Amino acid sequence: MSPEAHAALFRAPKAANAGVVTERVTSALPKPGAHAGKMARRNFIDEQVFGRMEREGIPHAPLSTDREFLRRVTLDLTGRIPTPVDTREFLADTAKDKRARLIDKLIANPAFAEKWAYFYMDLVRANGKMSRGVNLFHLMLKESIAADRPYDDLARSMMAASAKSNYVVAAVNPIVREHVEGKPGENDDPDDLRKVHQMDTHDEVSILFGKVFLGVNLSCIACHDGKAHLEKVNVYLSGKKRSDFFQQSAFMGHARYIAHVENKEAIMGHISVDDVSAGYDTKGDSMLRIKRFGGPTAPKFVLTDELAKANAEPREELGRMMTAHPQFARATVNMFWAKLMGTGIVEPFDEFDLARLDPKTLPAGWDLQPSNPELLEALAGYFRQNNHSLHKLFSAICNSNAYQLSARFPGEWNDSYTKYYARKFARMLTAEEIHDAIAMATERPGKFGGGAKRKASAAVNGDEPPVTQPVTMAMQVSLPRATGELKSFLQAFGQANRGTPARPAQPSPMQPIMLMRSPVVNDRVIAAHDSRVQRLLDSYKDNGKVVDELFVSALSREPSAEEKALAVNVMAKDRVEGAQNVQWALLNLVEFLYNF
Amino acid sequence: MPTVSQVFKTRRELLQYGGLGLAAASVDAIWPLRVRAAENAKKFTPRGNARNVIFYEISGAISHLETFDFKENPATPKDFKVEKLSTGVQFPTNFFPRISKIMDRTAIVRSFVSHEEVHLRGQYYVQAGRPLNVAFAREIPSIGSVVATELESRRRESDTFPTYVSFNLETNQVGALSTGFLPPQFSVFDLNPEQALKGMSLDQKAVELIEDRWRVLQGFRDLSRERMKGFGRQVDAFEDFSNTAKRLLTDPRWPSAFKLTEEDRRRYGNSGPGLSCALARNVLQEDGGTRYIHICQHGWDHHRRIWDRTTTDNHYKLIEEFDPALGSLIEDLAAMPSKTTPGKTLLDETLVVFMSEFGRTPGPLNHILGRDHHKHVFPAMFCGAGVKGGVVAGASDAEGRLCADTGWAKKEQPRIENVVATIYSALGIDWSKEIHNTPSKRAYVYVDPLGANGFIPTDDLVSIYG
Repeated sequence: MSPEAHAALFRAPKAANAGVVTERVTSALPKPGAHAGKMARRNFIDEQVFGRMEREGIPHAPLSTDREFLRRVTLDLTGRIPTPVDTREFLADTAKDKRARLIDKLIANPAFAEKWAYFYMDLVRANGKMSRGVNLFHLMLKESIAADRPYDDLARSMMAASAKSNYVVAAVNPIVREHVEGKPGENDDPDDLRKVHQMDTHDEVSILFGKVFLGVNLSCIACHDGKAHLEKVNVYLSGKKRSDFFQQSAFMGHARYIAHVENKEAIMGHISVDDVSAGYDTKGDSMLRIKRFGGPTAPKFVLTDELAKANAEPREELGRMMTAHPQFARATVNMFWAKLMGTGIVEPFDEFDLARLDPKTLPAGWDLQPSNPELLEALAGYFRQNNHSLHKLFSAICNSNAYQLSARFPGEWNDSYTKYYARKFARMLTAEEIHDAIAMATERPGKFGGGAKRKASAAVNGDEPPVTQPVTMAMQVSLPRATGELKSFLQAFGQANRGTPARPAQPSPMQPIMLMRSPVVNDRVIAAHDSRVQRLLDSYKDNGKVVDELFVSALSREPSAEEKALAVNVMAKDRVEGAQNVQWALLNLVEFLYNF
Repeated sequence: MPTVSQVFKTRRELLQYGGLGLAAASVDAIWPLRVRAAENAKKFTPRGNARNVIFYEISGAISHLETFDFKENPATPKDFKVEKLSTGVQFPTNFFPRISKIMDRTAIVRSFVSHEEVHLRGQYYVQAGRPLNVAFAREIPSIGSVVATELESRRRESDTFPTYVSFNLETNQVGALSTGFLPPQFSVFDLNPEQALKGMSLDQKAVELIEDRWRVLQGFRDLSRERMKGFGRQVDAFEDFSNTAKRLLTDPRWPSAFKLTEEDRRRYGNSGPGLSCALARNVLQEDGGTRYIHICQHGWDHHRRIWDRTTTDNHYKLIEEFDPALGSLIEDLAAMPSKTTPGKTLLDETLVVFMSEFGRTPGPLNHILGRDHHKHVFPAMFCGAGVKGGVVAGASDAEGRLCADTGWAKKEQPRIENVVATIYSALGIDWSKEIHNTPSKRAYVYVDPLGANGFIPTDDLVSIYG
């Protein structure tokens, strides 16, 4: 589909929104690819990645095998492991374009939208602060991602949405998520604006948009000038003032947040958002930050100093300026690149230093921040040229040979190769991926609610829409609501609590403990009715065949002769317990728990 | 079998994927930490009077007015029987029959002030020892993780238990904080007590099953050594964690710590707090390497109908869980002999702190019959490890609204930072330390003198020692 046809599916960008380039950072970068090398170039990404490695004489890993690629890309795109059928079909396919076709097939799979909607819910920390709006927002994300709604359009809708209720208008929920609760008072007037701290909410929303849409951390200058604070942290922001933040936050200044009141009590996650406030008050009190000290109140975009047009809605102006700025595409592609490749070109993906992107203007004493600035610009350019299509971005990355390198590096790995992407980086599966992989390998699905018929009114109220399919996978839910052992299991593997602050997933001894003793694993390897173990034992008399299937279903590969002999030997003592123990051991292998 | 410390002394690179990003070039520089003591280091000499610390977080904010800073007020429940304890403190003894009995072992500091007045930030403050700064939050470790790092060199060959254990920490609003810039080996080992009782108290059969399965697992690992070569450090590192976990699960002391008698359940209460306290006692008694325990009892946020017994988690119900849990813990620690110092008890070498993130509004109840958040004055309680029982330092005014006496030789009210300093001091940790090569390059100061509104004292609370 052409970018034009793609855009027409939605609404044509307003003239005002169309690519106003307000900043040029890397026009002076050297042209890549002067030295053609041995690795075939499948697209512009390979020109950048391999061109650079060949110029600088950096060795890299060979291409991944079909099996490695199948498991990797299935996990990366859909968060699932391949089924034995998927595995055998793909390995038997001899067509040259089978990897590209697989990528298309995976992006079209509903699990793709589920995985990336879940990622986005984590990113904006969608939680109970949206109350029931959380389900509606989740639905909107899944639909937008499945239909490949242009990402800039999605972003603008989140910045500019107004609503009587966030239970009804999905896009307003990121703003609602950031509401700051005012001090509980004695006033039960339903229109009491103090139930939501208006000024602090403007600031929190502005910080969220800066982080998600620009990859820039504005929270430092929300409290104080960058000068004398950020010189060693972020050169660009060290030149910004708190008043710049105020004027950035002033785009939200006319927004008004009113908590709905039911039974005399404010429902803090049920909020109406409109645009009739008087504007940002640079002397307004703050519950979260040091006192505001006054200053200009006109909305002014922090990256360009462009002022909002007097007769325009400031939040629409914000959406226009943000999405037209090159940093919007840059931050977006970097974030998804980081997720697919294991590490961002700029790392962490929400800590850009805009003064360190261009070698020509690099301040003395600093390194360039992007590990590969040309690649970053090329990806951002591709994303813009393709109407901010996430599908095309994912496809371009996964189709590149850079993505398809093996995670296994022959010879001595040197950490300085990391920035060249000289190999694929193994990563541990996320908590949700591990759960879902165990569920698939054992054919024992999870239970996350759903499955019952809901009242039609529930959909209107923003509850889960009427469902006929039970929710069986951890990554299908809008909000992690697991309890008991399942909750502990998911938390051990770093399930985000979507509170503050975002918690990095960390390896810990609690993870193998969970794998060794949690019912999430142990109950599933039991040869119970409908389990894979039981089905295989019933289907095959030959223990060797059972072992083959246990391996393929867990690791997407057949066992080696030695592995098979070991497993068959284990089963010889006690067929049922042996098969259970073999499956348990497979689920405890690094090969199962990591994506290579 | 290597110990946790042995494994990780050789695996400092674990840090590289400890949440800081695989490729963050700066992480190489972080470990070993370039620790530089502040110039005023000599100002503080750690007391080193405790081997262990238990921090009991009364999460959601208990009303100080009806408990540890009792004030007769228009809303005092009619069924309260308020008596003067031997320590001179007014206390509603009929609802705290067990804690009343340990009050003579307890020091109270009644003059705390918080930077924060909302739960999430308040609870973060309690766990991290500093106000939440979202700009740097991802690299800030919890106090427990700093303790685990500092005490790593004291771990013995035989230690298999994690240094930092918590119970129900995930139930509060902020959850369990990460290790920030510290390596993941120092992360919290958070347990849900009900699940841990079932899942960790493995019987002989369960241990044998793990051993059987472990043999299969090791067999597969050995056969795939060649196949798994060349994927980088992560593979080895996860196997190390796995070995650590297996060593813990099959150490007979670990399942033994997760067994409770009917008598324990009756005395401590069959509740989250009751089971947490009983398990904390067991974990310390086994002496398997755990040094810092954080217990969280969530639910004290009584904005509405605080004295209405029909509401879930009303004040009465939470007291009924809190009182026997904490009371039994202190009683038992005081009755258990120390394993290292003859003649001493476990309580003599364990500092127990219990407190909330802030207090609640004084005077009459609000329009929905509850009390709201109040940061201006609230108490913290200390027990064990040389704390002088009966000490009451600092005071609030007649209503319990503002501070009347800071309780030490400073005009500033004490804060969470001073509790943290007290904990570090008790464990023999130099709390004037600063770490300068964090990922952000911003110094991490163990006890940060720069509060939210200007400089604050960073002293420990010596008054609790009499």
